[in-house]
Amino acid sequence: MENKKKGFNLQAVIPLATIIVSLVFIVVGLKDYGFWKNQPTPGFFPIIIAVVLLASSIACFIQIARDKNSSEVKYNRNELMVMLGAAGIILCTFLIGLVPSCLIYIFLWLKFVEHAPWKVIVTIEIIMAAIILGVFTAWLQIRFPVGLLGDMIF
Amino acid sequence: MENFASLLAGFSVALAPENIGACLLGAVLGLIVGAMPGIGSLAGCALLLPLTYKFNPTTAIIMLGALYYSNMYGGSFSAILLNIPGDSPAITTALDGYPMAKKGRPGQALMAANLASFIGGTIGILILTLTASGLAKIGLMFGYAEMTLILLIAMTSISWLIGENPIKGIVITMLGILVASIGMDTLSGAPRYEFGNMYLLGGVPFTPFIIGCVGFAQVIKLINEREADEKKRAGEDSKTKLSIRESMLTGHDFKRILPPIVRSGVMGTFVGVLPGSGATTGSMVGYAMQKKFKSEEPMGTGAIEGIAASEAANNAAAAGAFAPLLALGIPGSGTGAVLLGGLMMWGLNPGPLLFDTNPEFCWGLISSMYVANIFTLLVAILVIPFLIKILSVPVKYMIPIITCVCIVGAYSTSNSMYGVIIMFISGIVGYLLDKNGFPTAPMLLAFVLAPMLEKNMRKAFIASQGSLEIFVDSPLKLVLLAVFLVLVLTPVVKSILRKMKAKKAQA
Repeated sequence: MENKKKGFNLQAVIPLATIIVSLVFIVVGLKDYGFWKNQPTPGFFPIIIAVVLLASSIACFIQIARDKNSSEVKYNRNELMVMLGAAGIILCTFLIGLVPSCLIYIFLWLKFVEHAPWKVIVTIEIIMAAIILGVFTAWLQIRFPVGLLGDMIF
Repeated sequence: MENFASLLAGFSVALAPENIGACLLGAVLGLIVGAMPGIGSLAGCALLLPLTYKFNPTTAIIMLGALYYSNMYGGSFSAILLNIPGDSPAITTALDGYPMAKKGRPGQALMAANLASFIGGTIGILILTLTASGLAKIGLMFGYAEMTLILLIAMTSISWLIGENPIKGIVITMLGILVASIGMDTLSGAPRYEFGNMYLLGGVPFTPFIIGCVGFAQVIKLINEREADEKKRAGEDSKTKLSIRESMLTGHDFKRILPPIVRSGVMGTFVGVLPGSGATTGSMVGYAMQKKFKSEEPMGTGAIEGIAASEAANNAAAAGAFAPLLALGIPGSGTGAVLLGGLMMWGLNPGPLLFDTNPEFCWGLISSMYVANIFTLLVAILVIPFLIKILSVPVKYMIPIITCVCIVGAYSTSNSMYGVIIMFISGIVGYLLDKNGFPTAPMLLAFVLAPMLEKNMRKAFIASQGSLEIFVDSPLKLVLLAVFLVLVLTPVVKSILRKMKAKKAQA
């Protein structure tokens, strides 16, 4: 999972990102919302927090850069697949609706990633359909998006 | 006496048919979620939060409370039978639970865990009953400045206690506060940091954010546990049969577990009250304390005392954590933050006034914990013969299921794909943070507490016309400030001392 760091440590990306976030909050806060006008203005609290975030992020960045013994975090392809799977459901929702997208995703994942037997796939599909349609649609009365295809049919 | 009269009134709320039903549903779902390795109470509560939208606030929180509480029971099942703790508080249960199961006494190990959870939890709820309203009365004496300091202490302590790196704790806490400041200004209602996006005007929605940070992030991590899970399961004897009769404890067993249960129950409750500690710290403290006492078998080799100490402490801590949550509006853990967020969503303002403004809710919730404790014990005992079957669901099949539950849950709480997109983004951010050693629990706590902190801090400054003196003008404020400074400075001093020691050792 993890190996010794070589060159730039990827862990430093997080404090770098939070440094940018803090600077955005400070600049936008001072420019648009102000800090003090007889009393604290809407920018008062976020600016203070952003300044603390900036200072702690710099300290964190230096700490990571100085730490020669830390191991670098390694990402693997499977983690990306989970993210892509969820992104796929979101995109397909706009075309075929949310419920069919979820059920198709479960089928594809179980069949082609996990190589699950048909019995398991059918059981899980039935359980998930029952949960989504029974609990969310019937009981909680959530109207899930039907997508472009659903709009054309209904 | 006054508390017990209020408690009796609370039972009239807790025993209403819909609340009993919600309590039972929460108990069953909590047991299942807790028993499933890798999900945990935080993700469990977050994932099941959308289900409570159908209920009124009291019923909804009763269900969530029962769910959180029974989760502690469920975590021990897979710890004992598979050596895979269902939740982090069950880590210490596995130390003796699994060896005891290997010695041919899996049923007794489960029964000991259930009884310890029940008695430990009852001790915790009793202490909660006695202290919660008193704590709220103390809270009523707090003004804006005191509340600001209390909230700062709560946020700081969880940053220090979770994770090994305090700087990362501060970074993540501040990030959580900034995310919460997107949307409307808490005092003037003016739009703030919406960056021209109309969706951001309403802020970052709580439930999709939580579902993403803990639920979806957990699924991404789960994929790496597939192989380990398969290997562990391959080594298990799937033909083990359990029955309630064979799981019964002997009188001798009961004598062995009772003292550690009582000790850990009391200790666990007080650990649970402390911000940032929660059930995991409770179970570890309970287990460590038991090591100092005599056990019939050595600890770590299947000692029933070890299971009892760990389980009693984590259930007591789970109950104890409700005291600061209800009385001061300060959650002790990430799961507490989810419950607090739920309370706020339903329009309840947790804090010292809650016991005055919504006594039926507060006492109804506390009473429901007694009911949930009994229900969970019954369900946990009745489910023993079916546990092997329930736990046989492999992690790899749970990945697509939980992913879909995250998406459907995020949509149902926001009625828009915006909620799903927030869930997706916060899930990836939560995963990246966790992978790089930034604990996400402080961020959730900060996200929930930030509006309260901002409101109190700004009102304190308005009252004092900008003078910082308002934070130091009474002995109570000085004590609170001292506690805050100790929490802030301790890790810095520790780090300096460590470096000095290392330099000395090198010299």
